[in-house]
Amino acid sequence: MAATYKKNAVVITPAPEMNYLHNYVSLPYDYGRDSYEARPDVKAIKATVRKSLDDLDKATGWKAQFKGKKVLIKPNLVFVTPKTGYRYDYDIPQTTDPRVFDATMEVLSELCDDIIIGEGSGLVTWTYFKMAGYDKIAKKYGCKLIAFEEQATDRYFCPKAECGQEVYVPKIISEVIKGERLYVSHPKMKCNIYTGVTLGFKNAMGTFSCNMRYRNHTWQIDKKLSDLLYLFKPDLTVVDGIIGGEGNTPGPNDPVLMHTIVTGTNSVEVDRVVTEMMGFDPDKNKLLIEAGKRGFGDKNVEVIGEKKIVKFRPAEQTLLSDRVEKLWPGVKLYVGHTNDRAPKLEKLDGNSLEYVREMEATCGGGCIASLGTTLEVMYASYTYPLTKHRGMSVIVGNGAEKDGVKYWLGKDGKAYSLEDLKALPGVKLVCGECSAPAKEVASLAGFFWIRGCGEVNNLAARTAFAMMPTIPGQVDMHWAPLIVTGMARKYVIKVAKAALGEPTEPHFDAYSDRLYTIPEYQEKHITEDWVEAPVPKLSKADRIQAIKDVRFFANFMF
Amino acid sequence: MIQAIEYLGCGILWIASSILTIVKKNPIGIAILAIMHGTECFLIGIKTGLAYGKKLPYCIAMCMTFGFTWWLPLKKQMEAETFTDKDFELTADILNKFNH
Repeated sequence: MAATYKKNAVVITPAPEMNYLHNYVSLPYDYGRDSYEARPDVKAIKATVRKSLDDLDKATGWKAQFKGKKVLIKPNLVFVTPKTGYRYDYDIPQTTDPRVFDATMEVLSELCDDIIIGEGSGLVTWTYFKMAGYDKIAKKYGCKLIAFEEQATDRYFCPKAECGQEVYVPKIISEVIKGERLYVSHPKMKCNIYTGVTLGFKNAMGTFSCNMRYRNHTWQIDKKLSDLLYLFKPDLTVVDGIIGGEGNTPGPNDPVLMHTIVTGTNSVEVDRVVTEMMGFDPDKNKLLIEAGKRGFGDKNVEVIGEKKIVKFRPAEQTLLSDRVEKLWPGVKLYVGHTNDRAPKLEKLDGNSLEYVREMEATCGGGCIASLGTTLEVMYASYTYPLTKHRGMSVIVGNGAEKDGVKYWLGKDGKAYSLEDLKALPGVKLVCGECSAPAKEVASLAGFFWIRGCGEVNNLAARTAFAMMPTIPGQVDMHWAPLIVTGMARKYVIKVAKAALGEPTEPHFDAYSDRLYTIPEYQEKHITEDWVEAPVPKLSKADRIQAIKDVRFFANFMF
Repeated sequence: MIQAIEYLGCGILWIASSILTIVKKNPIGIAILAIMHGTECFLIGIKTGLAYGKKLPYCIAMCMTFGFTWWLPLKKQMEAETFTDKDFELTADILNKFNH
């Protein structure tokens, strides 16, 4: 049985003021030894986490719910990036601080014998576990480490979901869904370019394998993530706010000295409190609005502790910002949409910047956000020439129609026809399946038309080609062998599982914003939050297709 | 990056010495490498590796293969991650750099 609380609470616990900037991404060499335990920051973090969880227990009795139960705990790793990876002189705070995670594990291990640490970073989780030192934590507490993307999947049908009725999750998540294992979400306090903030329940994005992630990885991303709450939700949330992360995460972000731990039993309410502490209005955050609309919050939640508000630099879901203009002056956006969310195109010149931004926001969580992230990664890379900027025209959307002709709007407020776009100088990158009407504009005989809807890795890879010779990523050869080994390991495991008829992800089918459903289940008018929808046994042809679906890098890349 | 190049250099040295030994029947290269790395191994390599937390067979294998290119980065990391109480003080410099 999942934990059921009579009362929900959120506890805000400040940590003692000191310098926590050592090892907030990767554990030190002496982790687990006396010298590590004697460090003032480690002692302070352990005391803060314990106090927060004890206070939460007094308010909700969560410990009694967890005693003797099986637990899955999920950190948020994203990219594990020590400072050596980029041009900055500080580590990139995207990863749940392993010192904080260790402190939480210490408390949990006193209550539970069977704890599994699971994560799907979206890239090479096995490598990131090692880079951050999570393998050492697992060893210390005798836990199993699971990289979600390497697990075979189970399928579920969520009838109440608005866009993701058919959901594939790793097998271990089935134990959580069926109430056999409790789920602890352990995110980092940070902004996110797709959803504004990424905290307790958004952390569940990491349970998806790549092809599941790409489904509705668009303006529907907030709905998709909130839909997932029908399937499973955290029984306990511990937000690592020791060093927060501001800016365009999952691109390289900047540290914020928050020095706070926030814990709670209702993740939507935890996220609301933390969003406010980050200086944003939770009532304006689309993700929290969607989760609230579905009834997953709790208006009677008790908030214990003082909300320390520190204004984080927001993630900007736009290529029309001053930051883009300043850091990537060669990158020009041309955007146009015709759908029921897009503003109507009235004139071909003299449109205001607000109007162009409104057009751009039509697909807020999609290609634009992925491009924003990619550009941030490039800028942080050693290889990006800070003074000699690369140029690229980015074309997004199916075109705004006026008098039967399609147009894409530039930042200058002018509407560009296909012929105008073709005449633009330099590389032209056409982003997303919806942009098919402009695919003939794409440079290199169509290579720079990025197919798929929200296919993040492919978009990042081709943007990198377009911006050559800049390499978007950590150029730290020290980690290269581990990263390549991790990629090879992941590839072999995924191929082997596909061959055995237990593929780790569904076939790539994210070509639109459609409702992903299972027609035979949809017809049954099911009223539950979810039902199991076993996948029929794969035929030989299906297995061969599943093997072909496994890519070393990304879909469509080569 | 530097470490990867150094590892590569070590590998090339071992391959070249092996070719010299097999083709020219001249073991001088291999002997020099083995003596040099062996000396490093017993004087500092094993000590550094064990202090870092690596197991003895791993220390011997890595030090005999890569010599100082293996143990020196470990030693540097250990020095960088050995802190005093002063390192945890929240100084004005840190606050100016990161605080809002």
